[in-house]
Amino acid sequence: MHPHRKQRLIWVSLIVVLSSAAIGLVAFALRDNINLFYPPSDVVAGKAPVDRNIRLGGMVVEGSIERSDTSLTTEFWVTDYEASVAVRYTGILPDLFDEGQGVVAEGRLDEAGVLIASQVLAKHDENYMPPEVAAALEGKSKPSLGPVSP
Amino acid sequence: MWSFIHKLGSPPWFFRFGGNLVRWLLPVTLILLLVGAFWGLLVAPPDFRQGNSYRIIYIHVPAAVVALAGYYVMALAGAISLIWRIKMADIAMKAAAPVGAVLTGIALVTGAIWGKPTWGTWWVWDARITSMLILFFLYLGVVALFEAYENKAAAAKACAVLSLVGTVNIPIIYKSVDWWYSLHQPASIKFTGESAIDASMMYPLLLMIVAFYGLFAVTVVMNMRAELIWHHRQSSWVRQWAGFE
Amino acid sequence: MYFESIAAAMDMNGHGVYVWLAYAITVSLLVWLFWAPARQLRVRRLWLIAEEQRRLASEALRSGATPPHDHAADGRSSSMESSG
Repeated sequence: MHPHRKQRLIWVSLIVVLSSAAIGLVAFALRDNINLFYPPSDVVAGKAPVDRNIRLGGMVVEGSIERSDTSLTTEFWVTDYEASVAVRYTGILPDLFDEGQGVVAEGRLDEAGVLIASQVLAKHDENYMPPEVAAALEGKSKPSLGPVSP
Repeated sequence: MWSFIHKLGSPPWFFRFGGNLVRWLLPVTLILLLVGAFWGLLVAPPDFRQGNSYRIIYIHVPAAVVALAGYYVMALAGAISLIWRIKMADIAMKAAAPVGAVLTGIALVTGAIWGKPTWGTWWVWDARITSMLILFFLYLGVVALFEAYENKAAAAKACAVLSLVGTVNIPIIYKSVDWWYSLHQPASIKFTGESAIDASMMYPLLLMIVAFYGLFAVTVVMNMRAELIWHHRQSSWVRQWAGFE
Repeated sequence: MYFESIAAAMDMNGHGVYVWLAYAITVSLLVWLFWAPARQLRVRRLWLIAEEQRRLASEALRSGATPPHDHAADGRSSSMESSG
C-alpha cells in the first residue's frame, strides 16, 4: 500500500477507535441514567431515589391486581422474581396490561414503599405467535417462571 | 474482481451499470414490497397478545434493519473516500445519507404509532429509541454538511469523518435492549437458536427485509446517477447521454 | 387471507387506524424516495439541453450565419445506453 494511503488508513482507524472509546466511556459513566427503569430488587434495596419520580419495571405478579369498585384506581405488585414492589395507579391502563406481563410504572415512592404511579406502560416481550399456537402452547406447558408471592 | 472494482470508480461505466441495475432491480423490489405488505397486512395471522397492531412490524423492522446496515455502507464509503480519495465514494456517501435518514424516520414514526396501542405511549426516552433518534440526526447531519460547504472535497472529508465517528452508535442501537433496561423488547429474529417469532409471521417479515435492502440499493444508485450527471456535466459522456455530440 | 371482509381489514379490531396510518406514511415517504432522484435526473437533462441550445444560439449570433440547429430534438430519442 502506498505510504500516504497507509497513513490515512491509520488516521481513519484512529478516528473510529478513539470516538468509540470516548462514547463507550460516556455511556458507561451514565449507565444509571440510560436504564429506563429500576428493577424491584434495586428499589427494595434502596438504590432508587425516594424524593423524585422514578420508573419501576418488571412483571405484574399473578393474582395481585386489585381494582377499586368505585374509581379507576388499581393496585398490583411488580416483581423481578427476586423482590416485589406494590404500585398504586389511578387511570386507564394500556390494553396489554395483565397479570404475568411486563410493565413499566412511573411515579414516586411513598413512606410505605408503595409506588404511586402517574403513568403505567405495558412492556411487550419479543415473542410473536398466532393465537392458535399460543393456545396450543398453553395446553402443553405453562411458562417456566411461575408466580411469586409478594 | 479487481477490474470490476476499478470499473465501479469510472463515472461513465458506473452510470451505465447503475442504469441497467435499476432497470431490473426496481421492478423486483416493488413486487417484493407489494407481496410482503399484502402478506403481512392481510394474510399473516394476528398476534396472540397484540392482535393486529403488530402488523406494523412488517415495515418498522425492515426499515430499522436497513437503516443500520445502510449506515455502515455510508461509513465505509467515507473511509474509502478518506483513504483512497475516490470521487465515486464521495458520491456514494452523499447518495446514501438521505435514504438512510428516510428509513430511520420511517422506523421512528412507525415505532411511535405501534407504541401507542401496545405500550400506551407514543414516545419514551429509552436507550433503543434515543440511540435511533441519534442515528436520524447523524444521517441528517451528513446531508446538511454536504450542503454547507462550497468546496466539494472539503465537504466530503467532513462528512466522512462524521460518518466514521457515528459508527459507534450502530452496535449501541443493536445491543441497547440487552445492555440496559429499556421499554423496547429484544430482537425476535435470532441468527442462532430458535426465533421468538412464529414461522407464519416470520416469512413475510424476512421477505420485507429483503425488499427493503433492494429499495436501499435502488434508491442509492438512482441518487448516485443523478449526482454523477451533475458532477460531470462538462464531460463528453454526459453530453452524449443528454443527446448532443 | 386472514380477514373475512374489507371492512374487517380496515378496522383490524380497532387497530386499523394505527396500522393503516403507519403504512400510509411509509408509502408516501418511499414514493418520494424513488421519485426524487428520477425527477432530478430528468430536470438535469433538460437543463443540459437548454444550456446547449443557449450556447449554440450565442455562437450562431456571433458568427451571424446559419440559424441554430435543434439538438434537443435529435437528442430525445438517443440515450447514453444506446450511444455509449
